[in-house]
Amino acid sequence: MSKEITSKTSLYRIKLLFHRNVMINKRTIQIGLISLICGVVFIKGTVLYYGGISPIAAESIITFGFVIFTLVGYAFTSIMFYEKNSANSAPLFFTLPATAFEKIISAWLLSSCAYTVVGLFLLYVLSLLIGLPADWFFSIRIFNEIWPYIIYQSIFFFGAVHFRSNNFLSTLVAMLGVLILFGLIALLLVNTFTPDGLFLKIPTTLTATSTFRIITTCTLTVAISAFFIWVSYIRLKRMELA
Amino acid sequence: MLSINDLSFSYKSSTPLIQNLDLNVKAGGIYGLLGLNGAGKSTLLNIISGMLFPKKGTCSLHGNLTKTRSIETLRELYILPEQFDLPKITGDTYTNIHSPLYPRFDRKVMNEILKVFEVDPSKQLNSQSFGQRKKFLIAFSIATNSSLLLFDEPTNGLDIPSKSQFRRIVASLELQNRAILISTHQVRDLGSMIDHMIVLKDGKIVFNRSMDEIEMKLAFQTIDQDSPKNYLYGEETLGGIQAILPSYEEKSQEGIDLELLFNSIILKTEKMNDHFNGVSS
Repeated sequence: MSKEITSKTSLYRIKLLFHRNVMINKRTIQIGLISLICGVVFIKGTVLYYGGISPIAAESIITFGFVIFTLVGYAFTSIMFYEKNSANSAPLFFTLPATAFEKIISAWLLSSCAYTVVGLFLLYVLSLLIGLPADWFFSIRIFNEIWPYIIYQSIFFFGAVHFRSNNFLSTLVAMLGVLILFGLIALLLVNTFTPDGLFLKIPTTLTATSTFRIITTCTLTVAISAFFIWVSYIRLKRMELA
Repeated sequence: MLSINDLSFSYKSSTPLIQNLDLNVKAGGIYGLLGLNGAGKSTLLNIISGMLFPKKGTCSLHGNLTKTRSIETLRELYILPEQFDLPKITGDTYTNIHSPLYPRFDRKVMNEILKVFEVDPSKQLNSQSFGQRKKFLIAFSIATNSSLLLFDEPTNGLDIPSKSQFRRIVASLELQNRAILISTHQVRDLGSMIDHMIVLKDGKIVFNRSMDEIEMKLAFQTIDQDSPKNYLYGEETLGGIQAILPSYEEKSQEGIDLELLFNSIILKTEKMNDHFNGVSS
């Protein structure tokens, strides 16, 4: 095997770290897959037992599938940097010969890109297996479900780097705290500067084309995600042993 | 190779653990970093490996500041922590996924050491005893061929035969372009392995001498209780007094007694240093 010695960001090292992340999280990934297969078998059995499925039930199952996909994705993201949380595993993680940027990117590629692709593919297969209409996979719906997921996933990614323990719960609590804080500030501003108080008048003339909306949403999603990946990188670079 | 200048470190809201420390480690040596529990040995190793950042001063390896954790630094050092967790994978998998990150990794050396230690790399690492895992990591660290190996209490958790094997392996290493810094409070375990002794006390290096210099300036003897000999330091034993004497007065009966020397430095720091600096008491 060729030896990569470049000091700049190296795709080779990112690939190695990606592989490492898969190997050390193999058990978690296996548990996730087995749970999913069990879930498919259970739902398929239930559907067969009741002799079919109504359109409303089909919609509920797809929504439920997305909820599971989202929650598992956030939980998986939250354990990406579990090594740095323990004094016993952190030294081997921190001194691994790779830059903080490479460590961040390889973890993000697994928890965000690979997970999203594999997760959606599995949801699609699940839909086919239990006889659900699978056309949602090729509709605008998938876009509408994915962009908020990617934004929040990047926040959980930052939480995985930033917090030293219970990363999932800590991020959730922090997000709630920030939302409440911003909500209160917004409420205060609205009450102070608008004569009608809370009753904001949204101009009805404001309309957006579908393409414009998609482009704006994509740009916003990429910008917010990139911001959180960047702050995660800064945090990891400056992080010391606990 | 390793250069530490005027380094100070403290954990948050506590008194400085390390103060104005200077240290140079050159290639070709095995350095024993000794000190009592809580002296700051592990903290110093963590600073050297870039996991803790100095509050003052610098620590650089081959001219690169270790706190930057750059590739140039990380691939040239390997730290074996006292306590560690390894992922739930086999030793072979661990080697396969980590070794490509070290440009000079030598698989042959790794296999040879594992054979000596009787560690089976095909087994799950987390299912093995702590000692077996430590031996695996010792083999991996040596095989990286990194310039600087940092061993924090390497013999803790090893059985007696493994301690001897460890000493033999380290003593047989080709150290032309490498250095090993071994931190321990179990002085006896170092045996005759080290060729440089550094003692850390209250966050400062109070003794930093080569074994050649020690051998030249000190003599180790067991003398009678009522001996008129003027010794620098002594400890009463059943057979008399185990003493350290100035070598210009006496010749050593035994080799360097590291434990006795360490105790003398801890308890009579000034007197021992005065002797080495040629200051008459």
